[in-house]
Amino acid sequence: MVGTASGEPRAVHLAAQLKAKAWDLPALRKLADGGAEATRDALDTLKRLSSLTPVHVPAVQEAVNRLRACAAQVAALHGTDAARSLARAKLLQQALTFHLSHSAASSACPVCGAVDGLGADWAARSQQEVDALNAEASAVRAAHQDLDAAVRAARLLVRETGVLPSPTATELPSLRDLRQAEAHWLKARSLEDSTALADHLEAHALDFADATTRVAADAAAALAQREDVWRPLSQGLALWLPHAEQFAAVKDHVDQLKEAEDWWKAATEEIRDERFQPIADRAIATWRQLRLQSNVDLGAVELEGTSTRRKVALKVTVDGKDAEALGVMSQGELHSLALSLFLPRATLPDSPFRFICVDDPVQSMDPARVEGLARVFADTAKTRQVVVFTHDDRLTSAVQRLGLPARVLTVTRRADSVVEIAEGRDPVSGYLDDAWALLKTTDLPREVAARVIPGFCRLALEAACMSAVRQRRLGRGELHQSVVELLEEHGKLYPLMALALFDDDKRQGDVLARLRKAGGWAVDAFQDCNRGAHELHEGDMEALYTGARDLARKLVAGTA
Amino acid sequence: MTPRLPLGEPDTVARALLASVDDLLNRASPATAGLWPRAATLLTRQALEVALRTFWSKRAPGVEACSARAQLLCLGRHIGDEPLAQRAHVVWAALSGACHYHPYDLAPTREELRGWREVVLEVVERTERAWR
Repeated sequence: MVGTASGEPRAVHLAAQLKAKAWDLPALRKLADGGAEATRDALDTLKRLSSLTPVHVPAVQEAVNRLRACAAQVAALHGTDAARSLARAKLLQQALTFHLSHSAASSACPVCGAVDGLGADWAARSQQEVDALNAEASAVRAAHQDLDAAVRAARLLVRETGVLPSPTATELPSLRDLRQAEAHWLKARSLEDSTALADHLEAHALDFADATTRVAADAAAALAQREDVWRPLSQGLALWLPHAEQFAAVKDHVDQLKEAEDWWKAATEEIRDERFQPIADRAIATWRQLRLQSNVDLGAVELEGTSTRRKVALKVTVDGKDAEALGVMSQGELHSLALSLFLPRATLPDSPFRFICVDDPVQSMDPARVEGLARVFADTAKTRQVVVFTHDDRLTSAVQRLGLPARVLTVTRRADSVVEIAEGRDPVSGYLDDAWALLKTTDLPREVAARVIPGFCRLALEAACMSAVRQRRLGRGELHQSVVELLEEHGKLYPLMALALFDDDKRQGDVLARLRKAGGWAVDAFQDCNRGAHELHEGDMEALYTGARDLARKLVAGTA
Repeated sequence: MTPRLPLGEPDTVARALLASVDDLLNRASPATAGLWPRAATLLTRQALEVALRTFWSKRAPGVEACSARAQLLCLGRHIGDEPLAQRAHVVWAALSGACHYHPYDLAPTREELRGWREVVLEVVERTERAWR
């Protein structure tokens, strides 16, 4: 194949070899060492073509001249009958021989009988004639011999260039011309006539020689181009081959090692999964406890990935359909999920820590979920100490509501981070205790105490109202969230009292009448607390406190 | 011995209440442990409301009987400082919220209380200048 430069046969061959699934290294080595069998033919052809020698034009010209000279010689002797001359010379020679042998007996001609026909004079003349005739005949013969030799010599010049490759679509254009020129040139072989031969040779020698020279030049150029493409490739190949050969030598070991590694990974994963399974199970169980009304269910918790790229895959469904955990869960649900994953791990039997600390776990959780959370912590607390820090008291309320055993501490921070820790209590008795402490303290100016005691009593009453409303409404199965919203909407004492007393915030106008039934003290306590939160209460502070306390207790007990 | 504060004079009540707030905020005392944030809240709000009532009784008697909200809405025009009146309104709303019981809210922190006290003191000073 004689192709374009980009189709350099060795490059094409190399590409095919390298693309193969398994490298044929011996074949590649051969290619690096100078070309494989498949590519050598094409290169050899080019090499052969590049070394073609054109017919020697001066030699042709000389042969043509010689042909023409010999032909002219033959033409000059034209008309001379060499055969007759020779026959006559032969006859005369025979007569002379006869004469020499028999001239003593008779000089008469033995053929025509003429007397003295073969005399001495005749003999002398005839001898001269025989010599002349013989000379003439040999000149003609020599001319013919010369012409024959010239033709033979000329024919010797009519040769093929060599074995030209069979024609292909992509061959050199000059090769086509050469083939044509050669065909013309070779026609000389069928020419018998020396003049025609001379003319033919003279007419075609130059074309043939030119065509040959062009092909040789083109082939040489193509070869050079091929080399330019191939050289860097062959250098690269030579550099790469030792590595490939080295690799081939150890490939079996590598394969074995890979197999071993695969087994190792699979085994590790299996062991890891086995160890992780109890954690996953407990995470799912914890989530089910925390999710409550959430439509997000946690199906499976799996470890994925290897080495440094590991993650926990959470198979989450929303209303039974697969979903991405992070995309579909609310902030509160995500907190719950994080806790579900954290708790089983933090309480593994292997863990040296027999306690857990959780900071602010109730952020963005709806109140219903907080109850679930309180239960989860209570479960955990059976085997671990559970310390929870929180910024609001939803968890504390849930713990108290559910009657879970827990110690609640209130931490307040004064100037210079002086921290005060107080035993936690339910808000109603808490604020009543505060009011009582203010009533009894000698550390505070009386007027200052008098200005804040009604405020604390009002806080206690509000908390008592809310407690009553919550107990009643949750008791009859209302959703936690809706109760919370109701209480948030009616945050002041009057509507709260209406809700606590009548389960109806519209009946604020009936509050005083209802309280009067309980006694004048209840009306006084209610009104003094409300007013005293804003301005100085001039009346008896202790009576205000006692009234508020008794009213609050009645509200909480549901007997107001 | 209980120190007696001059709470009798109406024009000094607001300042006296703020002094009590400072005392609660800065002086640790077993008597007020745990309850001081709510107590300070109540006192700060009263200081603000007293300052407003005192101001109206001197400048436009009758307005002091209106709701605190109404008084705050009128305040800016009368003291010629709308931005201060607006800040006072925001602080009053925060104080009022903290004076009521909210199930999930903890008492205000010392830093919050100090911020509110600053604004109330500004109102006290500005209103005093207006009627003195």
